[in-house]
Amino acid sequence: MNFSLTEDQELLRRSERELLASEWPSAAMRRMLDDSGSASHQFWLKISETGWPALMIPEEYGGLGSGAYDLALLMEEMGRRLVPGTFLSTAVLAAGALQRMGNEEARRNYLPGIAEGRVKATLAVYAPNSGWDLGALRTSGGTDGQVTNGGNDGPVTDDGNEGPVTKSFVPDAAAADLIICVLREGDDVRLVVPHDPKITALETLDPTRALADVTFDPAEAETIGEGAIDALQRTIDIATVALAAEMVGGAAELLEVTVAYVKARRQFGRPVGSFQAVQHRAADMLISLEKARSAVYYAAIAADEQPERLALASSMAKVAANKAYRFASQQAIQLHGGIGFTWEQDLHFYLKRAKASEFSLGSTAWHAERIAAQLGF
Amino acid sequence: MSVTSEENDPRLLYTTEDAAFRQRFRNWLEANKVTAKRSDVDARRRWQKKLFDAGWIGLSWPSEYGGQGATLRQEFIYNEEVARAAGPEPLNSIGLLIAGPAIIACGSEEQKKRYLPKILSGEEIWCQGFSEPNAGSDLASLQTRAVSDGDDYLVTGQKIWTSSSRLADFCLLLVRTDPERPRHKGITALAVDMKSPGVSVKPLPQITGEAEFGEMFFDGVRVPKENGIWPENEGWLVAMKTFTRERANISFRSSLQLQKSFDSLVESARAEGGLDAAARQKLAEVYVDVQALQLNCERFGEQLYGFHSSMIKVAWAEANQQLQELGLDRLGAKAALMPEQEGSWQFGYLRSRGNSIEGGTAEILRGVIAERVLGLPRK
Repeated sequence: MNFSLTEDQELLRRSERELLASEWPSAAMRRMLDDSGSASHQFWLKISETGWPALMIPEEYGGLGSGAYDLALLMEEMGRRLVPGTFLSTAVLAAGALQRMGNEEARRNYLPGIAEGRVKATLAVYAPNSGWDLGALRTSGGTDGQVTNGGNDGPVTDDGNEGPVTKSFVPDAAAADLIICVLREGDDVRLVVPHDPKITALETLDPTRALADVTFDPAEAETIGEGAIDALQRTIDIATVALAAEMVGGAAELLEVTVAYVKARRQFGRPVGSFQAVQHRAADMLISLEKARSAVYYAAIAADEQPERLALASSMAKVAANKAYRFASQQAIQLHGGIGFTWEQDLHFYLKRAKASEFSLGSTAWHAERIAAQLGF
Repeated sequence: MSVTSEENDPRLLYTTEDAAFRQRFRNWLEANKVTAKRSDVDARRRWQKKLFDAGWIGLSWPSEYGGQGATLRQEFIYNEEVARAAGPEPLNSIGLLIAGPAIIACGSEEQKKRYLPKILSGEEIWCQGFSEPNAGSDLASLQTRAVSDGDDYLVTGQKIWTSSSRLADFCLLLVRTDPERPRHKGITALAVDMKSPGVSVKPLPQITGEAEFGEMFFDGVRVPKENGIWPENEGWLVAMKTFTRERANISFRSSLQLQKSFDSLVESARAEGGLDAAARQKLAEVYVDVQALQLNCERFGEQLYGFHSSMIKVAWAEANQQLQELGLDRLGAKAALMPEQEGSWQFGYLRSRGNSIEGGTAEILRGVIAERVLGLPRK
């Protein structure tokens, strides 16, 4: 396997890092927290100009048709800064589902708009009873005697008709121009766009990432595509790799700022980074980071070149990234001492991001079970 | 289905050229492989000779001394195929992994011609005399003394943790030639004939009950000065060069061995009715660690010649310790029994406790990572 970057990828990575440093400094991230969306919208326009939302969209719909490895590299850079969730929900989740399962009309309608940055979108999958397990999404219709609630965890009405459906933990739903919801249909899934969804914003641990409940009546929703569960799973798996890459970027940033801090901070007449207890924590941060980085790159290469390995590889990447980011975010605060515990330092945002990401698209335990099932133990 | 079947192999395809190399070696192994226990010294010696005669040993060594000048990638493939075939380990492992590379890096032309071919063929077995009872992690404090006596040194002192000491024909020995100089600058590396008068060896039983290692005693042993590897008092540099390219191979090889242990745990779990949720998830997490180690080796590539190998070593020791304990715990009450055979989980658990001590303790290596990779200030 070739992990090495091409010259183009190296250049791209450098320009991505520069753009993020100038367009999304800490001050912008902090402005976003109480400006009801204007800073994040400006950022979205800026990265759209640069063509980032077009990255994974096929060329025939106005995209760049790039692969998952390029996506992972970009996500890693974005993870260094605490960017809003619009990119992942729009350009990876919604665009991926449209590309793989959307009907031709829907693809023509939405993909070029996403590629150009005109349309912010999201994908609503998670339902309270199924979590991230797509096979556990309940089927609608009820003819097979299963619970008949739209497959999606709304209440069943007395006459057996489907009641409203609620999707939870929907990323960036409030800011989305397009909300695509997933409904189970026998062995397949259907993509629908609800006409008048009720969006309830959730208070989130990570204030830089918005989540919402989305409730809608399946009878009042337009079907825009359908496909096998596998097609949806592939979309989710690629998004999982992207999220894991972002987490690796976050952990890498934390290690860098922490190393810089413990070199500069002096106590007892010497840099605290010369103390063994500090050194060993930093070494462990690097070890877990590099494990996660290899697992993520491997999964991205698998997505591009060996799709049959993606299911296993994406779970490996998420488990490794969950651990690395969690550890890095905890140790970064510890190694900064008191200053690391202040609101003024950005470290707490990374701590919150790490924990929120750990449970997004499947926890460590969930992916561990998925790995065990695939390996047959 | 073995977990290491090609289907689940974490690494993607190599280039065609490499695939041909893999196929050639795989074919040879299939036709020639033998099975032998680790303790079967004669069989392992014969196996090494067979590899040598067919040109399948010392891949990275210069061709004028019997090597093949292979690429690092080919060496990784070689290691994968060796692991896959589960053949015995060549007898002269210290010669191949430590003494040979040191002689290649620092030996005179005469020494290279004299020693290297016989290291490869397994005709002369080597051991390594570095650690002492009072010089473990702090190797530079070693006290074994070499006093000049005409054209010879007279060597007196004690070494410890020497593997293959009872089999060895030669020892790569670090001695203090000048106690007046700063401690790193008064050490010399010598090739010592283990049959010299005054050399004695005693087995050192370890917590498993076996004696993989020995203690060596040198009592006025006469060693010709021409057996010095590199100039007098430059031995510290020889010790530093001991691990060069082989360090990358040791890293990769140990990550492959870990895969074997993982597979056997999965096999026995399947055969005996599965795992509870806690053990299953823990095992899946160990699987991720095992795969990540192999992927790290591939991604680091030549960086493994340097300090990146410390990261692999620390992570490998932790993963193996977790894996062995998981295997033992799974036995429940039977974990309290001690079966005779090597290869039991009890044996594995006990042996694994040495992993974070041998070849650099976890503490020393974390310091190396912090200072040499992350650039933190030295103590």
